[in-house]
Amino acid sequence: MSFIEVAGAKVDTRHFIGGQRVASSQTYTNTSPIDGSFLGEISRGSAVEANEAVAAAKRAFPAW
Amino acid sequence: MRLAELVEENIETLAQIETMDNGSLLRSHRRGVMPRVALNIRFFAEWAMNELKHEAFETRGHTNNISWDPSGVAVLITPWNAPLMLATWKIGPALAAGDTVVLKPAEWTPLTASFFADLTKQAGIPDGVFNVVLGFGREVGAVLTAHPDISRISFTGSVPTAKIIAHAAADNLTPCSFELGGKSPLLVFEDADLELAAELAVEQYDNAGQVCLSGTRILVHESIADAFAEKFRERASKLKQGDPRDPETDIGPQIHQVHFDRIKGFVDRAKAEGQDIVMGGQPNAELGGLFFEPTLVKNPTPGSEIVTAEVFGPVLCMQTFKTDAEALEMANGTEFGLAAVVVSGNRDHAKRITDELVAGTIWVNCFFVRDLRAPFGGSKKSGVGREGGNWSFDFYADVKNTVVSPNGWKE
Repeated sequence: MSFIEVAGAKVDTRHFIGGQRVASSQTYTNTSPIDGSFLGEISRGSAVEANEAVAAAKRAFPAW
Repeated sequence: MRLAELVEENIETLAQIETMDNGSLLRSHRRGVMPRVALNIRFFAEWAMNELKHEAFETRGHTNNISWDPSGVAVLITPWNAPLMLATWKIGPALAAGDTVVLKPAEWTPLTASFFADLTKQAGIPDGVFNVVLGFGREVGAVLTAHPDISRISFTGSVPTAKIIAHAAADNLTPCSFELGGKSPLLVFEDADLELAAELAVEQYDNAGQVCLSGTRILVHESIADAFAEKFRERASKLKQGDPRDPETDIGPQIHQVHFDRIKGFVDRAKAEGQDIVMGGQPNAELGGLFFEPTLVKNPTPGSEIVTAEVFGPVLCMQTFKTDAEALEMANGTEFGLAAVVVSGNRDHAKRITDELVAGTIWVNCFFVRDLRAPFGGSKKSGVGREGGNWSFDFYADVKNTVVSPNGWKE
């Protein structure tokens, strides 16, 4: 599942790297502090996504 | 600029998502926080274009040309207590300085950061300029902060995490900006307007006490302590705890069970030590869940945990002092130095006090007035560096001085 609906809005649960949505194989559960209700399973990043994000930011830097 | 407009067009959506995710008041998100998010973006973009300049000066005919060059990839690690607000304090200046960004929001509150990423795409910000990685500090943050290809780390959060980040940054000597915690004093002098003092003191319960700037140590001159305490109790008893989506609510839930247990632990240990808890002191039995009653500890033992450690919950301490010197000693007698609130009816008196206080921000007869042009940050263990106006650009940019001689030109 890549999207959850929160208060009527669609929210992506994946990373945003190099302008693309990227999912992790692992997720973690996000709940609302208001009533403990389940909000969604969120991509749980690892070294792979961290390195990809830095690489994407580095590639984009000269032109920005 | 388009990004700021998109935030404005989505204020209601962002407010709703943030409230569901972090439990802060919906009315604050609508009225104050999300408009401020748009301002964070717009202000720093405009500042970079119009205000970021230096006074021209010459050295024996040589001209000094100072510029703020983009530094590279900025890693931004942001907290859960005001997620998108505090993230955009960093995103705004980092992007305006010409850096590209990797944002790691707190794992308990990932949603507005993700939604904001969609807005950056809609705004036409090129791919890779703004990135969001979700997950946990020890799994994602550790890799980001130790990465050799980054140029800056800006972190808002706790002192222990800042130490871990500083270690991670050490190998690459990556410059770090830290906005950390506090145990800030709120000083009420004998010449204070007591209604105002009580109003300001009760405001320290805002956001269920989950505010780094909170004046959690209320220090009151002994001659007015009883009168002040009475007014404080009167106002505090009117605070309504409940669902943060309800416009009547003043205090919502704590962020997470782990944090709730931490707050309860502080209060339980204070009770076990025999500290005098005159208000609250327990979970709200009626509401259940993550609601903790606004709590007041009277005259805690000096040096005890409840009056020295940052609780980051709705727990205030009240102490009395006899003289200005004693007030200053108590106010400054902490490892923190983030903020201070001074309530006094006399300008000279207030000036004498603020001159001696150690804090990044001092509010006199007010609280939480924050101008983005002004420096913001903490002294002592409350932080490293300042952000706001030029100070933000001094951090995110590579500041460069080019000295040009009047001689040697062939044209």
